[in-house]
Amino acid sequence: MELEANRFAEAASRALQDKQLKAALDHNARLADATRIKSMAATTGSEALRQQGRGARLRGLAQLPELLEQTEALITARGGQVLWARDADEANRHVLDICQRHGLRFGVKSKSMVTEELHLVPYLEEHGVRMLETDLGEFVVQVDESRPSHIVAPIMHMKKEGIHDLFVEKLGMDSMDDEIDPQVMTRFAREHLRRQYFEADFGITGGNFIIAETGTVAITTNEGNARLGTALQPVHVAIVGIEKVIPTWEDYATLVQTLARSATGQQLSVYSTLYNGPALPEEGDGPQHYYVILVDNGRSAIYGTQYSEALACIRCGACLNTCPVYQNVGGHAYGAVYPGPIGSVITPLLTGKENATPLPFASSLCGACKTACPVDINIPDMLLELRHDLQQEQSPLWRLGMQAWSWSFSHPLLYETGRKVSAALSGAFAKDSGELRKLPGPLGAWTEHRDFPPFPQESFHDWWRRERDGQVGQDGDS
Amino acid sequence: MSEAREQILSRLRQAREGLPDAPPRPEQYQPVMNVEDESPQGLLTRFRTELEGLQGEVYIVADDKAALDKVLSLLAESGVRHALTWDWPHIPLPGLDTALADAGIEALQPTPDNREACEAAEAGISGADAAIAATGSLVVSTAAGMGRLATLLPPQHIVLLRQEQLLPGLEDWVALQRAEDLARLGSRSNLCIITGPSRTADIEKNLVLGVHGPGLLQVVVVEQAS
Repeated sequence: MELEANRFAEAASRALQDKQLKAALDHNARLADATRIKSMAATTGSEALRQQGRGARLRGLAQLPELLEQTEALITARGGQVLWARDADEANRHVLDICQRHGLRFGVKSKSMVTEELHLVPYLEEHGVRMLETDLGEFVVQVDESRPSHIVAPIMHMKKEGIHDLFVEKLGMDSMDDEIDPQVMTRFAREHLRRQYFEADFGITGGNFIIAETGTVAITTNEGNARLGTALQPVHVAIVGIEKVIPTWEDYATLVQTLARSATGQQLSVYSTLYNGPALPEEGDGPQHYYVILVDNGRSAIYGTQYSEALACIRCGACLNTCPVYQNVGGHAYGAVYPGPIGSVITPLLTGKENATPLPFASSLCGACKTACPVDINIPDMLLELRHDLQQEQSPLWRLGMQAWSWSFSHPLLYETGRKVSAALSGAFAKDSGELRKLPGPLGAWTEHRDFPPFPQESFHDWWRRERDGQVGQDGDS
Repeated sequence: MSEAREQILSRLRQAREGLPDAPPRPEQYQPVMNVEDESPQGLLTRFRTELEGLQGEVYIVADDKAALDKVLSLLAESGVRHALTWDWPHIPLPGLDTALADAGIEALQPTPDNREACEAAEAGISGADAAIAATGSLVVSTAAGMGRLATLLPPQHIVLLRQEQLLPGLEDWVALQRAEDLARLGSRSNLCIITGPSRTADIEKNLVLGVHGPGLLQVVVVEQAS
């Protein structure tokens, strides 16, 4: 499935017609949103914790170069290896080099958004390295040969019937004649994947945080797949965005809890796993080789701009679940690795604004995303900034039009005349009710989904003049 | 040093002026959850409530003898013949090795060469570094004889815990590490904060236990001698 953020309008219209999708989103996204609200309300104070988490992320960003160097030094001292990647190509080549160095043929992978961003799995498979997604949702997506629609719950767009049919058709699961049981399907997936954990010769994970003071990569899962995928295999490769650094363990203690609460409403995810290095020689399990790949891929270009705050995102998905746009169109419509409100900010920044022009407009600016964000990222403001940037980069004709518009608004006589002409003209297009069902020319795009209200008989200006004159008459003293 | 490294770091250094102001590090962090009753009994009650809420099982026993009986009965209930264990000194229950042997249960410690045998184990038995009352969590770290697999691979995981190991919140565990020696924390190749049995809600938010890790998490707590 190709990623095409510029086709948002088309994809969103299609999504809105999809009754299955609507049913899945109505259930999944709204439930996730309600669970988050309840879970954050149960804490010692959600606003104070949001600010505490935000502080941790902003301090990490403020000292980013030093903390990255410190992390590298600590990991290296423990026998791990840190590799740096400027872009996707460089990151992918690092992984392939590691595979070739150790003769690795088959890897198990846990869920990681940065690897989606790098298109790592198709790259490795093209080069003869087989990869298996082990997160249940990602596994379903891989079997389905589609894409995740949510950064935390990859199959939020699917109903259990669809997953059942997929497992029966592609994996030979026995069809369930009566009620479809998620428990039976999960057990089937566990058994299907279990054998492969033993056959795999390396594990790939992402990283939720890097705790700089000990150089620790933190990963959270509920299934245990990341931990199992790095316990049996001789090589572990962790691929992490450079922005994920936090200074201290106290920062981690706050964020790992607000992350879990915001993502799924849990107090903590089941496995908050922390990686320091390769297994010591006397340990009976764990990887002998440990690599951490620090990925830039557009992040340093955001760093220091007015969009820096977007780098504080901890990928909890709360802004997706709470967004009225996401709740209706789902994740695939955005045509991007990172969907939803935060995705509409970072997709244009990471992939180029021209490649995602509709996304900053795919929002009602209602502000629900900012309220939901566990690190209080001002997403609506950044969407507005992006709209402004795009405006500046628009065609000269459009800019000229906007300038003319702004000029006429600051000249009352011109404005009045324009209004009168429009009102007169509108009569020609109006229905009996006075509403305009279809505006002419390019303005028609606006009326495709809504009516244009009728022009009033009397404008506010007219009313004001009449009232003001009347008042003067009545009071007679001013 | 790699060119990529130098380029990324220098880009970051040049651009940092435009960053939003970061608030100073708080002198006192606000804990995410309060634990009203921090007495040993209060912590135990809270730990039990939280973990049971996640469908974990908590058994509180008065002494080592009762703990041994409990472990054997939990293993017998699921018909366990092979158990993957930490090395005995790391499990705070003296006599467990002989008790298992007497019950005819084969105990196994993972090595890189016995993976097949590990796969066949029906239960894992371990200790824990600490337990967190507010969230019902167990902290386990790795070292020689304290492997990952006993806590992860078999469908059933039994944890032996002493009541003294209970702390109120995750923040208290971090404070303790900082007070003792943070470098020691860094010297462990792996740590894990385990909060309940392995689970997923990927399919329509239906909760299913035991995806890749154990679906059955049983903690046997030996009460503090009063």
